[in-house]
Amino acid sequence: MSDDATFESVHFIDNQADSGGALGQLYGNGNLRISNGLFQDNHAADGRGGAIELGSINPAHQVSIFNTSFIGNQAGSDGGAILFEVAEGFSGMGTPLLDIAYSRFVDNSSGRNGGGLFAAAGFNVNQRMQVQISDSLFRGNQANSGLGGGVRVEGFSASQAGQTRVHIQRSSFIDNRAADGGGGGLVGSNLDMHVENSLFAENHALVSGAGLIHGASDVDSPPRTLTLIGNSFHRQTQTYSVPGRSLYLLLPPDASGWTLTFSGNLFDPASNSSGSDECLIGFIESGSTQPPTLQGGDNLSPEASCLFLGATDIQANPMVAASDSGNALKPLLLLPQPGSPAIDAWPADACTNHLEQPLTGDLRDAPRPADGDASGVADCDIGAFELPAVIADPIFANSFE
Amino acid sequence: MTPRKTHHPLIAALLALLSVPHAGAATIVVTTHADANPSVTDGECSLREALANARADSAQFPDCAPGTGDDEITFDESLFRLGNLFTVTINLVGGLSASSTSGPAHALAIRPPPPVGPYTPRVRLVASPESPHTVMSVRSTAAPFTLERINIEGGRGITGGGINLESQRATFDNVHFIGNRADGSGGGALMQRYGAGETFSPRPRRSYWSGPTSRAVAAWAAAVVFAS
Repeated sequence: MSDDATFESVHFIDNQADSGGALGQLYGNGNLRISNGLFQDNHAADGRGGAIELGSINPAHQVSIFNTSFIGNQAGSDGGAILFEVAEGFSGMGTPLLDIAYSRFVDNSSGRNGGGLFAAAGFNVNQRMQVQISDSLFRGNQANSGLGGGVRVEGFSASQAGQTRVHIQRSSFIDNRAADGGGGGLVGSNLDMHVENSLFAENHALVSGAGLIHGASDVDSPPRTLTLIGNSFHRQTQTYSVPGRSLYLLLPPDASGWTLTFSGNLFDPASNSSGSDECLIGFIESGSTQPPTLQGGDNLSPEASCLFLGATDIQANPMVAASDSGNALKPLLLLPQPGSPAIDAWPADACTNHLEQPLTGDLRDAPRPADGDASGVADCDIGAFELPAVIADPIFANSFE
Repeated sequence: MTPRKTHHPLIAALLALLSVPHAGAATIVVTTHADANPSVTDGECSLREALANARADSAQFPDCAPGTGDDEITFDESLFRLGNLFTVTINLVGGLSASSTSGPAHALAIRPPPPVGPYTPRVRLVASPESPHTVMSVRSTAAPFTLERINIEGGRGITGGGINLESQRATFDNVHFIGNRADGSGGGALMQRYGAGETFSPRPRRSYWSGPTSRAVAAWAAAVVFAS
């Protein structure tokens, strides 16, 4: 028997419950599809999932959310809009999936973790899950305590590599807040994370990781991977002047099995952010530590703390400007200005995704690489945005003046 | 009034085109926005009576056509007028129940007639404010269950204030859940639970990694910074 439910063009407005303000589903083990929906002003007054609570999820459960808006939902506990939690008694070989595409999470709030979304497989070593977010917007969400103003995803500390995975593409995290904790935009712990062609702009945290936190919660954590490719970090802020505004990465003492990839990322710190490092890789405990494997390159930042790859990175003012796009899903552009060192500075052969396949588009799906400096060679621009190719003036190209 | 399986030839033709035929499928046409519980035999087919006939696979209530296995409940097109903006409001006196908890599964669909030109018929199911209740309980034998162009409003229950869904194959198309409330735990608008033998209980509050919190600010200074 299948466990399937489909919601097409369904609106949930001003509903209320202790948990799952609009929609509650427990023990799911089939397909839940929500497309072209609206969840607005729903409340989980004393519990989790202001709009949707998906609890005690079983191995076969596949949840797809497409072109759906979550606006102004509130949860007293975790998951201002959505709570997705794998069953504690999880057994079986399947991997629950939460797939969010072309959806908006705006002005949702949680009493604890995940102002927009909280997903967890964090109770025991048997649990696993995959979270995919693409072409989506998290804006103005707030975690009033705990972590993850926009999104928090949690795996189990001792789970093996690949059991819990987060994959984010072409998404924007803007003006989210962790009011009493860290991780204004995105927090992933005890899991493997890949973030590509995404924008983190003007997120705020009380302490570290206003933009993004990734790490381990336990000193004995097994190896993890973090891949950050072609992302832009723009003007995160923190209440306390502690390290790691844009990135805060926390490793176990023995991180020798960890692989951190930083490729083609752009950092544009707030102008008043001096006094502490913009990016930080730290260890849970001091003492004897083993470093992770670092790979990638072609990252651009005016501050050295975000440049982990030495000579293959670029320390310079990125010369980018923010502007409104008019697009509801991708409302903020952060484009290189004329003369920006980001333009065509990421060689095409290095401009690849985590599978080493060429990137073919930017956050907006604008084609990349493109010859943005009229050099005759199409390379990628560093960051989440690719300028269109410039057509060289044939007169000047021939040195005729 | 004679029970009708279909009302208008055009509607019938459209339904035939839009619906996948099932062996033994019946179309039961609701002819009134009134609701009474217990039902009264008055020549008009109410939604409550239509659901009962679909559940019983018979003409339990003679005002409506009998249910015959797979059923579709629709609404007489005469109920939808420009004057009510093609929206019919049924003020319920109590909760509705679709299908039953045991027996063979049958398809059940509830939908107003198809759009006519720019007008899209919609039905509002509004819970009684005097005696709070879940708007509809969809039992496990309603599979597949389809609800289309229906509003579920003002419901109130322990779980699933609007709809308590036991069907394990359900489709909601252009349904609006507005102002429903679950007083217990879970699903202000809709609650769905799966699993054999699982006992529902309120979810405990979990503890997760607290990460960098205000209390941990001082501890950050002790963290060893990795430098490439």
